[in-house]
Amino acid sequence: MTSKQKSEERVEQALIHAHRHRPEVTPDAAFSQAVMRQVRMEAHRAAVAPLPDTGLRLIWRFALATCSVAALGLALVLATDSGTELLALHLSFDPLFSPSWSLLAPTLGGLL
Amino acid sequence: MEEQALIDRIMEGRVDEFAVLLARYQGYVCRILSGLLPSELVTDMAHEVFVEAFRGLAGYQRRTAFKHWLAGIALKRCQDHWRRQYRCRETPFSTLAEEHQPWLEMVLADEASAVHSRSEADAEAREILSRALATLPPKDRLVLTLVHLEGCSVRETAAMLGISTINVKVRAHRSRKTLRTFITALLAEGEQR
Repeated sequence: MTSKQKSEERVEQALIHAHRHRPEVTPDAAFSQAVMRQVRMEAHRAAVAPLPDTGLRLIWRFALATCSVAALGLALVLATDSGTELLALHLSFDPLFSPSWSLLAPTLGGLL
Repeated sequence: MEEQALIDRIMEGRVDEFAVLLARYQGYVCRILSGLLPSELVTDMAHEVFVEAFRGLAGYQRRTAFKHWLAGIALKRCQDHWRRQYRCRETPFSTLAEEHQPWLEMVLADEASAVHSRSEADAEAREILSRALATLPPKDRLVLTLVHLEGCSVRETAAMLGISTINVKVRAHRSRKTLRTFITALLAEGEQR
């Protein structure tokens, strides 16, 4: 072991010693009172606005994600200039769909 | 068994019985936090740990001991604290070496009482250590503190942090190497002065 390594080792041991011999914090009565005060407040708050069943909890858990998806969908629909009806019109003239429309024609009373 | 019944009663709305759990574990939580945080933050953090434990009591899995569950909350809180600190860390290294030059000389000369009293020297060492630990990512810091400084076993640390023993070994090795690099740089800076 070189003298440099010895020095490093010595400093490291001094740091570890200082850490292990640190003064410990002991909580007093005021600490317990403060914690219990907040715990009671939390309990009161929970009692005022209870979540009755797990179903409701589940709904609230995914509420943000669901709303985000809905907003995104709405934004997409608004961004594209064609509405749903227009899209349906396009599809009805699409050659890919036209055979199936004609098959449905008798059931729809000759509308197509 | 008695503890489970106590938790059930608290869950049923007998909130005042939480004081029993608080009295039983406040020393334990403060002991953990004392090793991980500056002393002025310990009681505030312990307060937050117990309030969070109360809030999360419904989600407490009874497979693990309540004590270990509580320790997990405390460790998680410390990690969050260090994460915030790590983001805005500053390490004016040269000033550190300058300020603590007498301490370094004392340690190297092995004269505990020549420069400072033991407690003063330890306080200075703790300051240097906290600066060294601040350079580590939060999880590595936690592993280094538990394994290297507190002397916890690898298995125990893995259980407390919910990670694999391999992960603990890798992090312990890496963070100790960083600590050594810090000490080397500190000594080199000291030698230049």
